[in-house]
Amino acid sequence: MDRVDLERPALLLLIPSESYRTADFMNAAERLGVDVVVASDERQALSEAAGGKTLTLDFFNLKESTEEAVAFARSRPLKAVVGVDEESTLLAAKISEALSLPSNPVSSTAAAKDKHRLREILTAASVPTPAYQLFSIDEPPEEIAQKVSYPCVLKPTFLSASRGVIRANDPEAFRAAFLRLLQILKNPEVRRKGGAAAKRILVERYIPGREVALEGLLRLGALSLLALFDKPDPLEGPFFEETIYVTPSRLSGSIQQQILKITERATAALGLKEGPIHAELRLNDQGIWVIELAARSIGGLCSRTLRFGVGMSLEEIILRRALGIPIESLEREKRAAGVMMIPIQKAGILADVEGVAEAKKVPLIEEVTIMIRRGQKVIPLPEGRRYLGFIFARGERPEEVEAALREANRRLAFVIAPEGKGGSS
Amino acid sequence: MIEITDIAKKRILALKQDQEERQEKKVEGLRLVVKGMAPNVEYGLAFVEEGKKEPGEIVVETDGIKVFMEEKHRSFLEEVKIDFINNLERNGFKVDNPKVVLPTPEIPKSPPDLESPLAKAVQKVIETEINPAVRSHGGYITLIDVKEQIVYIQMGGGCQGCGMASVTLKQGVVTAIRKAVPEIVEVLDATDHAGGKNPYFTPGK
Repeated sequence: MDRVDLERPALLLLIPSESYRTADFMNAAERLGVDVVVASDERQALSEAAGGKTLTLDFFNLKESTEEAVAFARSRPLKAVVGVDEESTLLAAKISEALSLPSNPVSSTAAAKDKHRLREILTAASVPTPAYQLFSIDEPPEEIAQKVSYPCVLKPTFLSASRGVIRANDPEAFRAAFLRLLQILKNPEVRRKGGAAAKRILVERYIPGREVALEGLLRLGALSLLALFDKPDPLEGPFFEETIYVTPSRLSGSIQQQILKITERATAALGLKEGPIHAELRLNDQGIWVIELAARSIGGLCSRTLRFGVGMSLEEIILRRALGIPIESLEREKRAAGVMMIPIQKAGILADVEGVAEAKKVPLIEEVTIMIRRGQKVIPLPEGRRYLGFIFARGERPEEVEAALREANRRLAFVIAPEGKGGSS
Repeated sequence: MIEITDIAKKRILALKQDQEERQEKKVEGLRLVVKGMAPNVEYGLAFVEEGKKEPGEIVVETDGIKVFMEEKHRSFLEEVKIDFINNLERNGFKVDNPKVVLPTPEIPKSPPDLESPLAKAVQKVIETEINPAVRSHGGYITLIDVKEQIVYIQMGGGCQGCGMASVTLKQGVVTAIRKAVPEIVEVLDATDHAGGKNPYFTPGK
């Protein structure tokens, strides 16, 4: 596996340098015994020593990066191209299309990344989705505030993980939210990622209700359910920080079926055909609403909650699908599993983390992983884009798993110092 | 020799029966897979359907249970203990490998052999090729040991806890070492990545 066999088609993994998923995808590829070429948006330290096993591609310059990848594939044939995160799915679809490899259509992948286009397509297909309006950032917020109904949610069309998503209940809150979102969109890195989309703000009707997340796999347009997660914490704003995901869902079987059917309609409307999808839906008296639908798998380290068959990871399933390797079973293990994305409560410098050992002692807790190091900056939503860490639990029943996650989180304490103050809080 | 505890054996046999009934396929044994060496050593257990031995696999029979594993991992897995934990804190199979100490590095218990020709050849690659390159990311690689053609390394500085550490290891370090020293069959990362203080790439959305 460590020698480059130029005749043997390789797997091209497009991994953003700040991905949470690198190790999980690399391990899955190793388990499958496939030759891997890693393309990242930053040059790898050992790129020369890697001898053609790494590439540096600008994930946002689709044309040039596709050309580079196609040129690379002339000397190193590629069997599949997989974008592991939101940032790289569109380039993966472009390269796949250029190399005639099975993939989602580029237009569908692009639509799934564009929240406004997603709303347009779902609305046209009569898939329940929030009513929406698109505005330019150049319009005066006071005027827009008179054009929308309340409560509403403001969001960028291209960012993920609830970044920049803010609820407003009245015109005054709308103006404040608009100006706050404007600051996020003016960030040079955000502007570069968004391009023209960084000049637009989507305003949607706020949909009350409980939220679920659906993880699925598309093969030739047919959707298979991988897992349905309950999100037991209310997500009512003003910011929408993800916390607990627990599977299996405690919803009734018939409602779960309806959720799957609506997600199938949404993926069909978008024209997605291959690979993982991650959907977020809300349930209330009016029905089931598709809030998000992405042509990628679940983010962060959350996929570590999932095991299929007798121990297959989600990443292995994704790679098997891409490489055309049979997947014996998509059946998730029988036990309940959950993850808590540890919220960032305030901005500053992470000075210390206490209670990790105590948190790990909570029954059913499998792991507590702190991702941000001491001395690093922490930024809460809506500006932030990181989690403090992840807590994982597994047990017989979802209720037990949820309780374990909450207890473990209760035992953790994060000392966050004001920026520029150094050590203590 | 691989050890399977009594409780693990009972559990395996019960699951085997369940698997055979559910899928109507005869199970021949258990596959023990090394799923990842870095940043965390991870094992996978899976049932092997009759006649589905993979090329490159060997079979070790322990207490009536056939354990399938990759030939290249024979040495690494030869002393593992497969246990089944069922208490308030844990419920599931547990693979203990005396060659691995988690989360701290898997440093072989016997004194490191860094004076052998093989170790010196590996050290030379690290010093002349790998470390000058990873230094650009504030990182460094330390050779811990070379045992039975397996290299044990640790990552430090910007590499320790780096989000791309597994790419550095699998695409870079392994390639460079095996290119220069073809006798090496495997490179294992013995780094405590959770202890990294200043990783070059920190994951974030």
